Amino acid sequence: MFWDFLSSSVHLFTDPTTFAIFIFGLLAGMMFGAIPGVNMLTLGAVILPFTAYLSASDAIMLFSVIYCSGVFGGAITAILFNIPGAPENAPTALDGYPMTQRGQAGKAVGAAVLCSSLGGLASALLMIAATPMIASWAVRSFGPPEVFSLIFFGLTVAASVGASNLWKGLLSVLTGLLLATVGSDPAGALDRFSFGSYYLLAGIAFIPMVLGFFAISEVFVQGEKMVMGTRVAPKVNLDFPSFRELWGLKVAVLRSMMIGFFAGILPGIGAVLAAFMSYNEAVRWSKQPEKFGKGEMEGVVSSETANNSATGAAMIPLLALGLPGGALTAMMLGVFQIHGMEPGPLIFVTSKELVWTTFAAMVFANISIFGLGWLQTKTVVHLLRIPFRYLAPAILLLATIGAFALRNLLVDVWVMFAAGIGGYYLRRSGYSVSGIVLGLVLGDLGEAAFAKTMQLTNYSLTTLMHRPICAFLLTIGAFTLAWNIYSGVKKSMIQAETGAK
Amino acid sequence: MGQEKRRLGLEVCVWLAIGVSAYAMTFQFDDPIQGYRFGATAWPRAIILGILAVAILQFALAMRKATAARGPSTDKAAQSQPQALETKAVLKVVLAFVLPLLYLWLLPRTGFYLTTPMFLFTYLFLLGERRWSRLIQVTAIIYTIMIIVFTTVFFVPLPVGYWPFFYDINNWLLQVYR
Repeated sequence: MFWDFLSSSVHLFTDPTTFAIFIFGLLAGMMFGAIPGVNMLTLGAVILPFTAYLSASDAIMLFSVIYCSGVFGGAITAILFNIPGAPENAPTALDGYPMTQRGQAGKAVGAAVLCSSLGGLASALLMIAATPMIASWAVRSFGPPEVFSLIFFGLTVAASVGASNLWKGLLSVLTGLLLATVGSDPAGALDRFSFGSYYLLAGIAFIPMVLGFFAISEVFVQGEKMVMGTRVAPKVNLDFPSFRELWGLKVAVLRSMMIGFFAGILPGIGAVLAAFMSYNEAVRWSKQPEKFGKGEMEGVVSSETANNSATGAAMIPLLALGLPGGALTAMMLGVFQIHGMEPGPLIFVTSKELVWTTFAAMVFANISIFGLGWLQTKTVVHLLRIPFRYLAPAILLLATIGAFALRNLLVDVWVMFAAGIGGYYLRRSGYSVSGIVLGLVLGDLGEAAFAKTMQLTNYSLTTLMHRPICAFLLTIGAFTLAWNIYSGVKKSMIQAETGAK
Repeated sequence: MGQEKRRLGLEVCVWLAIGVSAYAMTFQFDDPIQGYRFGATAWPRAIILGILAVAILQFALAMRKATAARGPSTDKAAQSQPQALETKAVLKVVLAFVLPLLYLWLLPRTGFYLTTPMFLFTYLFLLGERRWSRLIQVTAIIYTIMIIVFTTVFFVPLPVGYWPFFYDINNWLLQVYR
């Protein structure tokens, strides 16, 4: 293991192309995460088609580095503008933005830099130690029933985050699942919802949808704010948090690392669940919970440590099981598809160099966040002065070329814009585009796993419940869903009664 | 408050329309599959029923809340001036949607190399840039970077158009760039 890591690290720093891609991913991820109006998902969606020109190893490494740096970069806009760069940065905004309003932006960003790096590094090291073990265990213990149960659990939890309320979260995920049914069914290859179109027979193209939902809809949303005149430039103070302040938060950091890592392993959620769960736990464990939401540094620390801890963990289900841990890892599935590869336990045998290059890159990316994050904090002020009216047409153009370049089909570009317009209205209405994309990705996998499960168990759910992992995940998933629905209904009724008074 | 209820009503109608029409379409592929009891329809129908159930539940709870809430009374006179501003802003937003779609419609007809700088210039103007020198500079910078990266480095075969005049111009530009 050590020699594999060492040789991959040497390759990373001595191969000019690989090193250049590493640096590009690091800087671009941070920059795209930091610039208002774009985020790492936009970057990932735009460069996805062009990864066909890279080796599989370099392409996956690029996305993993963008994941590490972009999750941190998204904290910048969350803290400075109350615009989370990605859904996993949303809890960061809850306390980060009030800190900015109080003139403590530097402390908030500094805490985010340090804790992101710590969380990501711990996660990357654990990932290196745990992924091969999980991979060998997965081959023996994970069949279609376990895959289906894991996806079911992941989707039930995904529905509760990212949208303005539980119902919209559920509808977002269900919409994604419905879109995934377009094309051929996995059991009998019957044509579904294709309307006689050859294009739709193979299902809705994933990459244009991602480009549309993230890049195009973001341009439309930000463009509307510009037209309405509601964008406000923030002020930035560059004081970093003191060692004493950070040492006082060591328990929050350790707790967030653990939550982030274990939440990140769940397919379909990754950093989003990690950030929200960690923030909730920070509030629950705090002696002064009423301070959260008004500029409490622990809120920023908990969220950012957890979401970066999830980055390494999210790679485990992707590499070991072929299940994405979040939106960006879902794009990585696209990278594997472009290169004709299939992630799963065998990848540690068939593509060992790819795996260890990715591991090494993530470790050094998180180490680099320490230094580059500090530098970025000093320079981001100037970058953030780029007016969005200059960025918007560039993003539109990049996305258009990216969608076209996939298959040289203008239909893909039309799909992208349709998804962009749909995503714009859904986001305005409080729905979660991340939920839709996760449903889109996991829908195919889930249905295929369900079909195989039913055939394997002879359509008997009790047989399914005799498998310990399935029983555990299905029970927890069903309980989570039922509890969320019950809580949502109860909360709505209380709000209605309060409003009536 | 009436506006809120109308919005809620419209939202649930959209979801019901999607759900009902999708469910109706499932009858087009309800052929039995040998070896798989549930067929091609079970999974999408379960999802559609889920969508309908959640949409109706959301509507019911939101209506209950909207009906129970006591919001401030609306003053039509106070709203008249902002309303005039909103119309202009709404038109700009609509144009911000329409312009990229128009660009996309023109792309296969007039080609990428001639249409793109015009799109960039117009979109920058729409988003509020009024300085002619800046409009030209930013258009030139973005266009140049795109050409260098995608035409010279990646050799992406971008559309050259099929309308006679534009086809010739685009091909000439492509030769110049390469």
